Amino acid sequence: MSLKSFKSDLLEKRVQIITTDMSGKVTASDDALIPLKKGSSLQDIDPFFEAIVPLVSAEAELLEFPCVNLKTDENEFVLDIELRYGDGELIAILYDFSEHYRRSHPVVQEKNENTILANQLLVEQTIANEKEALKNSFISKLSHELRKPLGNMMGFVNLLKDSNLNYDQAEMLKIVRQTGLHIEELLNDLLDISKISQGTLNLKSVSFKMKDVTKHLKDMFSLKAKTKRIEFEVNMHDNVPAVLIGDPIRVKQILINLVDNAFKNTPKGKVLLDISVDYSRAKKVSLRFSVSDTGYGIKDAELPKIFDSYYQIDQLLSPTEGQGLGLKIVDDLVKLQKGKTKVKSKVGEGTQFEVSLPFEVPLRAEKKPPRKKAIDVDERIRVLCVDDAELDQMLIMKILINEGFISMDLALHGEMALQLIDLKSYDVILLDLDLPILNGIEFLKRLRAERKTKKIPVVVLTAMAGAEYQKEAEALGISAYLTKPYQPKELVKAIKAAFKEKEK
Amino acid sequence: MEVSKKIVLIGHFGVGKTSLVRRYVDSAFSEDYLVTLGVQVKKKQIELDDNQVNLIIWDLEGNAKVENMRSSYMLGTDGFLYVFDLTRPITFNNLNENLEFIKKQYPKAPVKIVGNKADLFDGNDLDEFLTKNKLEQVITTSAKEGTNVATVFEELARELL
Ligand SMILES: Nc1nc2c(ncn2[C@@H]2O[C@H](COP(=O)(O)OP(=O)(O)OP(=O)(O)O)[C@@H](O)[C@H]2O)c(=O)[nH]1
Ligand SMILES: [Mg+2]
Repeated sequence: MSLKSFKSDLLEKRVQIITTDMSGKVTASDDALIPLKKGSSLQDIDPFFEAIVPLVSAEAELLEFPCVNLKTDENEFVLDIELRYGDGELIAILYDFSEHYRRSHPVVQEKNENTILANQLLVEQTIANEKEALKNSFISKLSHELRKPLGNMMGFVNLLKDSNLNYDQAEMLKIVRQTGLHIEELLNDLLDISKISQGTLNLKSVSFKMKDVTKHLKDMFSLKAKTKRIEFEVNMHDNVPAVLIGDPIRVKQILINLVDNAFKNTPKGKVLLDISVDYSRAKKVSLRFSVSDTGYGIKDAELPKIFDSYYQIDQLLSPTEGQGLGLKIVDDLVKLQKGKTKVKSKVGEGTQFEVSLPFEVPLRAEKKPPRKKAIDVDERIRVLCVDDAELDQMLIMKILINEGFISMDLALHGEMALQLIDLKSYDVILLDLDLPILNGIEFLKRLRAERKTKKIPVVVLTAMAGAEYQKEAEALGISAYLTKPYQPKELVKAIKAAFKEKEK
Repeated sequence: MEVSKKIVLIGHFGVGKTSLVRRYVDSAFSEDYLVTLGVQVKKKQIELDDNQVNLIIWDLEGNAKVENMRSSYMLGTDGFLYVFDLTRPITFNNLNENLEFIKKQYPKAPVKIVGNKADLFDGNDLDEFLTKNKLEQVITTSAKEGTNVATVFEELARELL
């Protein structure tokens, strides 16, 4: 609204003056806006006056009402209205501001509409967020719950594998084991997905060699390539820096998922992993990982959906071989690392996934520390296992006996463990976190508070895979944090490493 | 006996004050939102327990804070309808503040709290929603479907007699 038009409104405003008796009955009117019949009263113009007329008196001699919407038989007005008391009379002054108010109406209208829209979006967003959070916490709880029994089962499967089985039994057990590993993989994927969307998956920033990553991949897929008679080639361009800074575990996870997906969808031909430099600038480099296959290909209409978790889950539930959650994980992990994913495909010819990831390059390649001689299984290692679950204890015991450890004691909870430690000395403590009476974290605190026990290495074995638990335990000083289910090899390695640490 | 009572509708903008009055007085509803500027007054005559009651209904422009509203509009008010929008939390988050202000400034005028747009909820969801937000004392209405609209006005009118 310009000052000029406002002023012209004021100058051109039309005014009607009406006098009435104290009940509102008209005695005189100039009829400038609204013609009034003889003998009529203010209340006949509009119900607005009904509640107002009785309020005017010698005590309340001026009442002002801006912006009153009035409708008469002929016209609609927006008026500012004044009611005055004067010598037993009532004077009504009607200022016609209809034009002025009508001009400002669209401005208010737009402002209010925008605000309401924003309110509604906020509500929808909040509901969506709540649902997502609920879903994530359900998924992570569920996968934790499933890990425990699966861990027990896999533990015994591993033990069974090393016992005397005939050929048929061994073959059947192999299938059981593979199926178990597959479930384990799916659970880990689910957990990762929920961690990423909850923002609790922390990326590491360490120096690593891309060669080690590709070697791992080659080892992992060479057998599969042989059995499926598919060629698997890894091609790393010469200008890819030998040493990079980033999260090798997550890079590996991305590539394993992409290569695995390619193998699944390729009946014959070739799977190629090509690693090249996208661009490099000072200390930063972006690498392009391309995984292409000569497989079935994906229909154009399906392409936009392949990274969708629901789509993947649908596939998973279908009776045909499931695609797993691999591609969803790839997409999530790439986004988390601020990279990009692209996919091209032709039905009957094959598919190409392209992932770009940023890394840092160390100024000078760091020297590898000289390799220390591995120590052999030491029968002298005295182990205390603190775990309340019978199956878990049995499993650990069997693994350790198989590996030649002979000294192991059991405690069912932290309190009991402290008593044992008081009586005997131990080289390594295996600790479950979820314990009755004195839980794992409290036990660790007590252990670390005593001079005598401060230095005993502790290996945590737990089904609680959350980063928070691990952080809390690590802050108290532990040698390793293994989440159930773990491989027997991992456990043995962790115990030996912890022992070595103590010997130093 | 014939009496006149002034009822004032207040609340945030867009909550459906004008729509409630239209539904009650003209038995009509529109999906379009037309902002009210200032005030528009309508009248409805009803019979209540052998009384002829003239309800003078003041439909005011929306405002988040009652404190900021033009006080001349409130002169001579017999009762208030405080209207909010069940689907927009912002319109009831400051409900208590506003009610306290009204109670202090107009101690004699009863206030009815009206949660409008109930048609946008499923039956059970609405109960759950009201409990969750501690809004059990609220009357829920739908200007769109006419649910509870006459009830709200007439319950207030009865309190004024
Ligand atoms: N679904 C639904 N929509 C409603 C209902 N009541 C009002 N609306 C809609 O809500 C919007 C706002 O209604 P109004 O009656 O103009 O709201 P108001 O409180 O008078 O708004 P202001 O005059 O700006 O304070 C319009 O689009 C109406 O159609 C209802 O009960 N159900
Ligand atoms: Mg309105």
